[in-house]
Amino acid sequence: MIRLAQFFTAFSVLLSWIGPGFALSEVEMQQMLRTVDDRQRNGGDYKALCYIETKEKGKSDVVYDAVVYRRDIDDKLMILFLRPKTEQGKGYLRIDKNLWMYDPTVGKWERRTERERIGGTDSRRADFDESRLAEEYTPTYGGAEKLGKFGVHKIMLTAKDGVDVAFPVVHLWLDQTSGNVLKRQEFALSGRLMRTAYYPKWTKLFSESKNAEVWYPQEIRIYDEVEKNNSTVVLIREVDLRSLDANMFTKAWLESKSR
Amino acid sequence: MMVTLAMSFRFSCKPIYMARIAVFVWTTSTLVFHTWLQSPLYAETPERREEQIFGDETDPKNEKSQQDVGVPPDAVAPAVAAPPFDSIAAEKDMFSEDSGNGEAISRSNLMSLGEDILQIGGQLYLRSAYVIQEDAAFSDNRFLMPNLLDVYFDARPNDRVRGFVRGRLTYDPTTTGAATEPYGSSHDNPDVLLDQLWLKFDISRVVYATVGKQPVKWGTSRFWNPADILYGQLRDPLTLFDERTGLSLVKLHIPVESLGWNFYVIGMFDDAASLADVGGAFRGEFVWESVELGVSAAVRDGVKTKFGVDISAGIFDVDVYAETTVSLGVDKPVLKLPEGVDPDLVEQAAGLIEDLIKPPGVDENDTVVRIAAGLTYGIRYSDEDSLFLGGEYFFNPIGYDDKDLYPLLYALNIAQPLYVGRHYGAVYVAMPQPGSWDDTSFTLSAIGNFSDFSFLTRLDVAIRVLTYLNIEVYAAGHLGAHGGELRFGTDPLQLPTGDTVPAIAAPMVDLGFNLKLSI
Repeated sequence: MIRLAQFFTAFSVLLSWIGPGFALSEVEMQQMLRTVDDRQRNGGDYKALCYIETKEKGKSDVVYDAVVYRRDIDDKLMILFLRPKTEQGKGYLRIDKNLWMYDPTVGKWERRTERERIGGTDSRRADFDESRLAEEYTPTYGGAEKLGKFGVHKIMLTAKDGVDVAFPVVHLWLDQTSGNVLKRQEFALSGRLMRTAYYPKWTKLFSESKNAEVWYPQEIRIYDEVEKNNSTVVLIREVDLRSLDANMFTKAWLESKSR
Repeated sequence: MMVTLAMSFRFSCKPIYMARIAVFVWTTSTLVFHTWLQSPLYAETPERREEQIFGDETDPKNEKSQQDVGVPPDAVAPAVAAPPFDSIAAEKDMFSEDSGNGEAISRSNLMSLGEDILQIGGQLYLRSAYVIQEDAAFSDNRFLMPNLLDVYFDARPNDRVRGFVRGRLTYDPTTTGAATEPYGSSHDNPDVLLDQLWLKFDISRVVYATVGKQPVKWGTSRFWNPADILYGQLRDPLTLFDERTGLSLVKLHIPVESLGWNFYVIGMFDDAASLADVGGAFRGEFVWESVELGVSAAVRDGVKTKFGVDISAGIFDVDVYAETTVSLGVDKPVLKLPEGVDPDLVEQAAGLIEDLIKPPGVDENDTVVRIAAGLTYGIRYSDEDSLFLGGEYFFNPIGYDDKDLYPLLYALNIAQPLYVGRHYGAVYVAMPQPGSWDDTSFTLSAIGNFSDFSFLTRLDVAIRVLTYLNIEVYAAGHLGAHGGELRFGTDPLQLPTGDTVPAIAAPMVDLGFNLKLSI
């Protein structure tokens, strides 16, 4: 019996080293997160056209057209809604630790938290911003799994102390081959599952400022796990990594684009 | 029974019937299966969702591309931003057999050809209010419908030049001819106003100019904005919509993005018949960590010089804000004539009126410091919902300690709502989109004038229906001292001019119902 137990232990250890599903060490997981962050980080400026479609139970679907501007070197982010006309001019501006929302109908800026639903959709600020997983979370390994045809590593993340994030617990499914995020589940502090997001399409383009390639998801499908029938799809199009104009990331600039 | 069953079985075993049954079963099962596939029960399961997105491992026909998720990295086509020019790749792209996939001109640039540089839109705001007054019969209570239509023309030939015009039509169908306020002031009904008329452009992307009639709002407070020093008329905190029209300005904005700072230099041209009447203002905005600071000043001939400071900071779940204004003297009130009062008589009595309405202990040359400060505390009561508790205090040293002079102030239309008393306070609870009510928000607020001890409590409910239609409903109760600002009523009043203005009944309850649509 003891021999049998010893055999299974040795076999398990062997499997953990030779199989694709071997457990990742914390150092390896940190490296994977840094890779995910670095591949999406530009180091310069970033502009993308986003279409955001929301589906809610009992309501007609709404499609938003927004432009996302980033100046990664300063951690600045701006989201400006262009369409539909009723939302035109609404915007978000992140400078340092401040996230402000501008509502042109009342002409007022208000501070918002990381939990803010961008434009009332299921998306959050982090969906449009550069990835900061390694800075913000501590990983633990959840095992090797299959996601459709893809072999994935499941990594469970817990927010570091003092870091303000929308969700304190995140589960990530990373493609074992490319390292890209394919699935992401976000949990409240109570352990309740809040959102599930899928990243079925990734692409890249060359960045002169980074002198390397920058990866971005072309599509994010977000499912509200609280209001089960609500979902949001974000399509990221026309990513442009050329330098943006100076003096853009200000409240006044965003106000000047609204009514 | 057995015979019947046996006969029907023999009958149904005939080939023609067997074929019909087979067709029926196949069709029915296909329909049921198809319906099930379309049903939320099937489509919404996480497993099915992932199978649709990432492919079914067991299905060899599934063509979900490895390239989509980034494998292999080199196989992915370049996107919009151009890499360094590669002549071989470019020639291949243009002249190879599978050429024509790339876009020589970006889609957004092509789409811009089809866009009209002029956009027309606006807002339709249908408002109705019912005021239940003390000692008034139910049928005699006041009913009003101050409807409003804003229409704008917005021209953007490119992203550096913009022209904007917004006009406003107000119309109250409950009155005919001129609309009359409680104390007799009137305006045309319907009435047309110019809200905004401005041009915006930049100078080398360093200085951003806005020239013309434009809205400006300074200050951080929720209810009282003493630091909004450019406007002579401060915003009524009880209105859901800032009805003040724009100011005629030349505004130069100089941002320093690297520091998060902004500077504004402003020329003010309202009522400037000569160069000497042109006013000037300055403002600086500074961001540091989670603190934002604004410093401003305004100078104009005939108006006391004013300085303003406003600050806001996010500290954990608490937003703290404060604003103050320092005025080098007390501005004389601009007397507005009640309906039917002889202008000459008012002019003759102006000195007497100014003496009468001067707050006790306030001299025209006093330096006046007005302060508003408050905080908002966000409390998470569920995984996705928060409620916000807030409080604000306002000190107004040029306000009135008691209510004795209110009738005269109101009769002359110089009482600015919620800036009449010396001490004010407000508390509120806001619940945006509680639970599954994602289109509904509740706000319960209470405002008090602590100088005359009159109070107002109000419940606001905002609901969005049919995706675009906003409904606002409110109910407010007037409490505290009779004749106080928030429960104001008076007997007939004789003006120093000899004219008499009629009595006004104090309000008890206000009910409101508004519909708002962006068009």
